[in-house]
Amino acid sequence: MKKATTRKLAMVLALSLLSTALSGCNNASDRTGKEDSSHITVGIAQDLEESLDPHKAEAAATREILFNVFEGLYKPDSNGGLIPAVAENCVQSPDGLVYTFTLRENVKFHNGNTVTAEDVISSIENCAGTNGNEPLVPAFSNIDSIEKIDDKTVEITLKERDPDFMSYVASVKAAITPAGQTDSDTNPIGTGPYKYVSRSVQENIVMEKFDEYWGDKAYIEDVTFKVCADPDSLVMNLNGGSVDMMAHLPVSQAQQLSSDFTVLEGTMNLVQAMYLNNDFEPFKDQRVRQALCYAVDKSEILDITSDGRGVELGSSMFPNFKKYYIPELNDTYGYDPDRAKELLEDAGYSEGTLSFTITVPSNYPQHVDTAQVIADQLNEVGVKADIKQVEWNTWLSAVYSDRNYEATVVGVDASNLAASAMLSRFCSDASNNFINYSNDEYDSIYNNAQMESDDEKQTELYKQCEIILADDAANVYIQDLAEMVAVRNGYTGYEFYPLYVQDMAKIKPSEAE
Amino acid sequence: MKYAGKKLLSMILTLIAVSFVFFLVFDIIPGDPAIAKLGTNATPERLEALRAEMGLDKPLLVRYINWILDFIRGDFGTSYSYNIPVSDMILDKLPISVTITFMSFFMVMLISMPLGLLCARYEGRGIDTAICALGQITMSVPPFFSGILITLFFGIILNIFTPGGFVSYDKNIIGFLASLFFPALSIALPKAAMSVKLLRSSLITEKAKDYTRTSYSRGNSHMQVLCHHVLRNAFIPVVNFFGMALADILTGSIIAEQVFSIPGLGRILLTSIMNRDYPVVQAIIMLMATIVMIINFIVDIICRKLDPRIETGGRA
Repeated sequence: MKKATTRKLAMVLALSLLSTALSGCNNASDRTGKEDSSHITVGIAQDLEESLDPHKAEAAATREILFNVFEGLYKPDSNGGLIPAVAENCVQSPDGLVYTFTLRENVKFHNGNTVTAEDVISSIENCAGTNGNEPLVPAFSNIDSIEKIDDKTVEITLKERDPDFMSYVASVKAAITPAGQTDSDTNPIGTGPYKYVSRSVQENIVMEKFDEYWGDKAYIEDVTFKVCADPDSLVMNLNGGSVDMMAHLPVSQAQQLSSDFTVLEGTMNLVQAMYLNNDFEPFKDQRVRQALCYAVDKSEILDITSDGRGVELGSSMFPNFKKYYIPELNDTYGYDPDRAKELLEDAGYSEGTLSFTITVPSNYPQHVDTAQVIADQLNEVGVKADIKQVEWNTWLSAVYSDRNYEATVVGVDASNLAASAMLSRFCSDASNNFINYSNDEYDSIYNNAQMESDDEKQTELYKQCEIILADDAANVYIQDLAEMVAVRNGYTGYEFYPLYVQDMAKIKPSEAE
Repeated sequence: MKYAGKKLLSMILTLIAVSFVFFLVFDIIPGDPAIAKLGTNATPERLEALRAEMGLDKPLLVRYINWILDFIRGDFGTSYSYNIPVSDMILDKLPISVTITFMSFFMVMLISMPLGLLCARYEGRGIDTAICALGQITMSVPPFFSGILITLFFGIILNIFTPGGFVSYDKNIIGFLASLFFPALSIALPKAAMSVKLLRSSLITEKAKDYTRTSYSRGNSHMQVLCHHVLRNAFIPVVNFFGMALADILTGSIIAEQVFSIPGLGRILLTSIMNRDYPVVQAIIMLMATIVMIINFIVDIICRKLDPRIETGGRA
């Protein structure tokens, strides 16, 4: 009996030894696949923690991946324009209310079926909430009717003019999906250059090239988006060879990469600022807000947090919105601590009497770093700023929804390529006006811009809105953060978009050039 | 039989208590799943609609009772964030966490038994001192740190494995085991060091007892005495420790999964807490609690087998 027990124990030990020994020698074979550039592993900092139904996609991180699988009637290009996708063209009626889309011939879904007018109508209706649900694309609640004219023509009529309507049509959220599909949460079927293969929660999403794509076909056969949630092990994953490409890298990490990588530099397409709750008593006074702007040295922030990379901003618009961006606004408030002290004195806050809390989401180190430098700089003009780090969900509910905060450092991005995506939130009655900004002049100019049908005049009005935000010191604007993209040598063709997009169809193996 | 019944009842009561505490905690902490899901696109109307869809508009007790009833029926609900059944998510990830736990556990045994015996055999001599000193150091390094060291040394410098190169078990089972080897090792090391220490002192205590001398007098060799007589008695505290260690390893794997980027249950647990994905969190917590209780139960039974003098009935 005793002997039997020991023997069994020995067996177990031997078995586990064997398994560990076996596992030790296997790794060599895993590495050989690396040279083959018909597939690519792309690191993503977080999983798409959502359903894969594009109409329900809320997070930018989801949309940037689903961009490869889905297309709307139109889609954005890398220059910030809109190009026809499932539709071949679009004619707008003179009053701006009726949009007539002609569908492209023979666009195939990933399941092999051809896109029909019915598919288009059901997709748009689903987004517009005409089926009785809340509209999934809020701007589509403006749709009065959608009609099939013939098999290749669909007509959408709006209740009111909306100059940004096409931007919404071109977003991934308004993707065309098969009518009557019931498993869209788990089995995404679109018309894009890549088709969905599988997903494993917190592990990866796999796609493969769609051979029947109507447009320029993708170069790389398989794409695996691999979740690399831990920022500390990210560089190891890249250098170690398990990830070939990664976007949204902070400067500090990009600098640690080996020579196997080409590092491209772009911007994150967001407006990082110390957003001020304009309802917080001291911040109701324009002089206090201006003083904060004078007290903050943007170039020092860039130097300390990102080695000088990034683009300094002076209003709620970032450079890739080329049409609307005004670079000069960056100089509205130069660094001038003495002027800051004067303004504070005028407003009744002598040195050391103004103090407030900056609430920062702790999962964004780039915002936490900026907040820390700001707090130091404010300290020099006698303003005491405490930093409170909160978890992202707490930030969403306390700061963004309940507006229960004093100041916060975050980046605000655009969900589509319309100026309204950046500017509408500063209207006093906007539901997402989390800074409680209220300025009658701004409201009226913004409304005029929305009504204006002449493109040039409209652009001019939007620019005036930006100027008001800058002059009025609505927030302490900082920068559009630098974004580094690491691509392993052997792959080329990465393109930056002015939106959150990772366009894998453009990536090709170097030798294909 | 009476013992088993008692044990079962206490397990169920514990599970109910655990689940209720977690329901309560999630009700109190800030943030809610609807806000987490809609993010910056939230509007009051959409939030309300989504809360209703998730059933969050009902009072706490109603939600709790509904959840318990579903749970008993085997329906763990649907993930708020992913819109896929929680049971599918867990079943997909369970093999990963179970493998890493058992791998690590076997490593603990594999390392600690021979070393423990060796130390006890050569008590006070050079080899004993060396192992004890090494153990002391290993014990004081937390797994997340040894994990980073191991990745750096074996992964980056020696290039034996690809950091973050997790291979899924349904693709390549050997590659899967390989990718879990070093993570398992990092969890196992401190536990192994502890159990060497425990086994050693337990063996030394037993060695001083009368029956050991008797067994020597019957002409048994040193190792025979140690392995066949002393080990069995010295094992009781060690088995208890192994039970605790196994539970510890299971929960410790949550951290190792983070460091080594392994998409197991621990990773899902953490991200689900961040996203306030309650159905997933609840199910994983219940699963972990159940496993820990089952381990304890098994430990009780083993101890009773090893030493019939132990009155198991009294321990329930």
